Amino acid sequence: MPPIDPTMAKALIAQAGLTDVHAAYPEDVMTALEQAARYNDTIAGLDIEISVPGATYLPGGDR
Amino acid sequence: MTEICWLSATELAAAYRSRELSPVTVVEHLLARIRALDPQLNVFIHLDAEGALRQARQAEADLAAGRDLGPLHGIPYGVKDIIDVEGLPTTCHSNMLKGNIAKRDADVVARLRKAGAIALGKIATHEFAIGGPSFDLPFPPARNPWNRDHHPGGSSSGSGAGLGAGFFPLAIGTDTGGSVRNPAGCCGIVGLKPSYDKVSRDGVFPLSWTLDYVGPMARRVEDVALFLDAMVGQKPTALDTDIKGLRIGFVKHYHEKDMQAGPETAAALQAAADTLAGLGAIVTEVELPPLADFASVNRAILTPEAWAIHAPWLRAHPERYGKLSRRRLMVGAFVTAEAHVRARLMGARLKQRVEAVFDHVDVLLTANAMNPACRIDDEDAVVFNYFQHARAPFNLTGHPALSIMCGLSGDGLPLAMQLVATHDREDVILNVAAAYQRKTEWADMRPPLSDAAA
Repeated sequence: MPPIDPTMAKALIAQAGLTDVHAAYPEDVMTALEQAARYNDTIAGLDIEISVPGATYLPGGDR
Repeated sequence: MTEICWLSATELAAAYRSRELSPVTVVEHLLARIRALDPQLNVFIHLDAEGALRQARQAEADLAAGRDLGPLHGIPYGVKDIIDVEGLPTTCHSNMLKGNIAKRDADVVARLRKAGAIALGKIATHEFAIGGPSFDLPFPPARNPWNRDHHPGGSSSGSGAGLGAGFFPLAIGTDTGGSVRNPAGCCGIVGLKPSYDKVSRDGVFPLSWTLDYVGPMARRVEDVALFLDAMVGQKPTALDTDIKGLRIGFVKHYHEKDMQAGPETAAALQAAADTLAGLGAIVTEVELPPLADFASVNRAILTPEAWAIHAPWLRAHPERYGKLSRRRLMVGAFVTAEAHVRARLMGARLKQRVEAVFDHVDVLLTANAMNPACRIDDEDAVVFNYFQHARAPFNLTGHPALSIMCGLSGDGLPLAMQLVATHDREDVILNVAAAYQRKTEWADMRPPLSDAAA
């Protein structure tokens, strides 16, 4: 997995309200961020069809 | 008579009624043992000796006067320190809650109190039931009674270690990704993660409400059944050790393909399957969805829920958390909403696929951990050891799952198997486990620590 872009990392940390925690424990926050990126990546790789009963025109669904 | 510390709850109950033993004698004996041996094992965060003796005296008086509350009356037990006991600390093994005193009993503790059971105190966990053994917390990590240089599993680490060490015959644990079954396996005792919502979680500090369970732990199967009955408030489960014709699905690919169990674990699992077949069960191989799918889905559900719980505290006071839990809890801050929603959809599909297997079998037999417990001071080895298991599927599916010892490694550490049944059929796995226990010698084995016992 490619390393997380530092600008993106900074934005995500701010969005999570962890800027101060990052300042105090940079390694811990980055470890968590990288772990989450791996989890997100793995889930994205699973074959999951988003199906909503009664809905039409969903990506990947029956058109 | 067997030494008091190794008597089961069932045996203690009989000894109280035949007047061979009294609750006071038993509690005094256990307190002496805990004081002598716990400095080596770190099971107790708070030992409530005075409260336990007071309850023991009351139980003794009640039983003598014929006020019998049932089989748990006067039986001591340990409480994982994320579960509230009125008037006692609930620290969750964390500086974050150091000094916190519970204002009321958790539902499960209230039920046990009503049944006359005696809480000996609050016992070790991993911080907030996440992470692993840590050395930067306000209390040291519990140690494995079979070899104190090794971890006892977790997060119900004190429950497993205390049972293995003969500190109490019963303990309450909780299980979000295997936290009852991991220490049960590592410490050579029996641990049951019941069906989802079977035991109330009211008054228990949550980790992930979708995946959290409260479960009974004991050294013997009949005690697990007894404890579960009291936790739930149901009629006594009558164990039937005749398993002739019972269909057992052996999920071999979990430890042969999805993960690689060590040779001793693999051999112990095969021997257990052979023993069950020898008892008349029909053992066949079955296939479940891959372990990796369950692991991915569980993490994408667990971590955002845990983060949602801890975010306000962790943002304000990160220094009050240990390094391991701080890192693991913050993962949930960065799992995307899309991943979480997709995990929930995938989880529902996995659940259906496992449930369908129970159309063809009554019980599943799988690995618990892929290897015995490793050294507690090797952080990398502990992380690897903790993630090599087949427990996570059943937190997601909600099926009851039990760990029971099925071997001993060459290094003298317990090996375990996992038995799983369909929803609300704890009785079926308890029957299989009881039949296995009766046929084998594992439940009677004691850690070498017992040689040094008072």
